Amino acid sequence: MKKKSLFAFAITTVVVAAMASPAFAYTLLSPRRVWKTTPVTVRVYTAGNSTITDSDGGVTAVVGAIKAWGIISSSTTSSPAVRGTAPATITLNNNGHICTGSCLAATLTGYYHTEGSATYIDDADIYTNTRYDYTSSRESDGCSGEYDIDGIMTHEVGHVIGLGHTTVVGATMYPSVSACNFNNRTLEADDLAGKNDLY
Amino acid sequence: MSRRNASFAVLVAMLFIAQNALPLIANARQKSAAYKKSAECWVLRDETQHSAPGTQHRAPGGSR
Repeated sequence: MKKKSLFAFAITTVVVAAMASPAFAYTLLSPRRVWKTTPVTVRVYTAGNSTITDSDGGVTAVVGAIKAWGIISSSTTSSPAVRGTAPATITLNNNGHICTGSCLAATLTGYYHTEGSATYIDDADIYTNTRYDYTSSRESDGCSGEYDIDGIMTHEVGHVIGLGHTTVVGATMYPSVSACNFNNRTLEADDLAGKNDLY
Repeated sequence: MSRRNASFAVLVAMLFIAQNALPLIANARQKSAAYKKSAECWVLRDETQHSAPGTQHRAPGGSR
C-alpha cells in the first residue's frame, strides 16, 4: 500500500511538472549567432508587392508588423538589398532567385563572423515569391486565397535575428502557413522564449 | 653607421616583425573569420503545398 502511494505520488509529480514547464521547441541558427547590437536595423525596400492593395504594396504594413519582436528598428529604404552587407533588407517584389515553388518568403542567413567564442550576424536579406497573392493589415478588401504579408515577414525577421523553425503549431516560427491565416502576426510563448534565449 | 651595422639592424628589425607582428596579424584574421554562405536560407512555405504528398520541400541552394 505504501509502495503504491509512493508510486502514485511520483507519477503525479512528473505529470504536474510536465504541465507546469512550458514545452518549447524553438530552434536557433547553427552556429548560434546574434546581432552584435540591438535594436536590429531592418529596412523594407520601397518597391512594394503589386498584389497588396493598400497604398504602398505592403511596405508600411511590414515596417510596422516586424516591430512585434521588440528588438527591431524598422523603416523603408529606396536602396535594394546588398547580400552580405547590412542592413537586413526585405524585398517584397522579387524572389531573389531563392524563393520559388511553394516558398512564400525566404531569408538568406549565411552572413556572419566569429570574434573569439562569439558569432555575430553581419546581414540577412528577405525575398518574396511573386507567384502568390498577398494581403496586409492595411488592406480593407478582405482576404480570399491571399497570404498575410505582416505575418510572413514577422516569421522571416525571426530568422534575421537568429531563430530557426519550431514544431509548435500556431507559433510564428512554424515553417508553413495557410492562406488568410493571420496568427503569425502575434508572437507565441515559444517564439519569445527563442528570442529571449538569444538576446 | 657602417654597412655591416646597417645590415645587422635590418636583420634584427625583420626578426622582430616575424616574431611579433606576423602572429598578431594571423590571430586577428582568425578572430574575425567571416562566413558568406550564400546558399544558407530559411523558407516559409505555403501550408497547402507543404503538406501535399510528393511536394518538393527544399528550394534550390540548400534551404532548410
